[in-house]
Amino acid sequence: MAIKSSGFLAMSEIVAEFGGSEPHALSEYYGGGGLVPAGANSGIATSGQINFNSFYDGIAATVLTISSNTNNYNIKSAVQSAGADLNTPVLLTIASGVTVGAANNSAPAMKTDTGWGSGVSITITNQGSIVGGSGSNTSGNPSSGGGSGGGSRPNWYGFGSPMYGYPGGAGSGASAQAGSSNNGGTAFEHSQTANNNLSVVFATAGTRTGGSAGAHTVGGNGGGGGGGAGSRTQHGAGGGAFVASGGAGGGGAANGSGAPSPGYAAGAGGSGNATQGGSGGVGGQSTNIGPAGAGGPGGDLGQAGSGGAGGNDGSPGGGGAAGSNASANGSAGSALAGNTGQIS
Amino acid sequence: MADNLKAKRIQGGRFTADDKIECKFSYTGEAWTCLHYIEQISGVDVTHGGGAAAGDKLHYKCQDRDADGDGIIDYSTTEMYVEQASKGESVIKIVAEIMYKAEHDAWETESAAWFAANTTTVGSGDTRQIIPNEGVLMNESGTGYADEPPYPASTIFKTGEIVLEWRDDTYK
Repeated sequence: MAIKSSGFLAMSEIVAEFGGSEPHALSEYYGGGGLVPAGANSGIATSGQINFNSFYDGIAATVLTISSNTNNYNIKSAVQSAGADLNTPVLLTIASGVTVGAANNSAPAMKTDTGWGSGVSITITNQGSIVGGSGSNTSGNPSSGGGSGGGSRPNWYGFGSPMYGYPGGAGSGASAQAGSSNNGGTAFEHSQTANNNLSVVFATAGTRTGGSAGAHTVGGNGGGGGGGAGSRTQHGAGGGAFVASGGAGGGGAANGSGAPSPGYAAGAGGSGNATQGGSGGVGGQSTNIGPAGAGGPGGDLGQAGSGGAGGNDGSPGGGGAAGSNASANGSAGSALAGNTGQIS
Repeated sequence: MADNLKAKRIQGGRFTADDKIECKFSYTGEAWTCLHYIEQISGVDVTHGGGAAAGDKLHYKCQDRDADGDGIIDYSTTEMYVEQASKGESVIKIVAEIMYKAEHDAWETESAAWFAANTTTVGSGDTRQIIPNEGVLMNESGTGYADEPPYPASTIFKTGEIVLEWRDDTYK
């Protein structure tokens, strides 16, 4: 409790605030000396003549006031900037309507920092808000899970078999895992975990809110392309016929596998890479027959695969559906963190 | 109980463009393959998302992941992703086209027997030919024989109508 602001001031009142040993003398009470903290007592001379009335409002503590919005407030730095030391109690007031926030979620909105002397107390009157930084919203791509391409019915089954294409595989649904960047930041951190002698007292708790969580979103995989339809045609007076298989479908992104070549002269589907689906294989083309249907390309990330192309026989395979997106939320930040056993 | 297809929305809502539809397909035996698509009844356009139009027949399963040791895929539960192209209401049905494995296998057997009895295969590679026996006739398009077993048609199932809605929310 500070010394009164006016009226008759007795030596005993100065002693009651700052202590000292008998016999008392004003020379014990130079500002910044052993008994009078400098930060909150700038009016008290640091040498030479000391006036009694300079002790009005004197206080044996470092007094800090936050009167406008700020981010990442470091109490230790503020004390040192005020010319005080870390062995003196601190009285910190956050004015009404003021928010102490954080530029991001990686550092607390307010912290004590470390290096405080034994037995020091920080008393906070929070008439405003201490709010941790919000977690970031991030996005990513899957590394695997693209749908596989659909094959095409090979021609060695014979002329009578419809040369249909098999459907491409659906891309896998993505999975997402939130990381530290998605977590909300801490509102207040008691940093001095190695020394339990720093106590933090919220005389007025006010609003202390951890930062909100962000989300990590991963796009779905692409679907595989469908296999192409085959072709067959009559040839020659004897009614003989040729057959050609359709091309195989390409694999979807990410890294879906293309289907192997289904038969003579037909093309295999390409495999998808990290972000793009693979190309469909070309349709087979044997002597005296037009090309069979090409395989459908695999879908890029988040895209469905395309169906295979039609030949003159059978039906092409359908494309694989795109995998679904996934999202995972981080954790909301803590209102209080660090050496919370020393926060009351 | 007769084969049937039912669907319900399991994700999404009035204020989002996209919804996830769970399709419950009760069918007899095993499926050779099954494709799903969207039948638009009315309202704003609906797609599968991912650049696929409503009528695109898509495979929502993947042989690599979903097939059992015999290569059979269980299509009894399929999750489809549908997306409205613009705000408004859409009425759709989900359609499943199934080829029953039993029908496919029966055709394979029948077809192989027919070709064994009615044709002779000669050559290989791009000179491979199937020569019909005496008296076997081509079809009119020249892409097959008149009497060969036709491939069975897929069986189509439709759900009831599903109403999708995407609207603006309002400040309260």
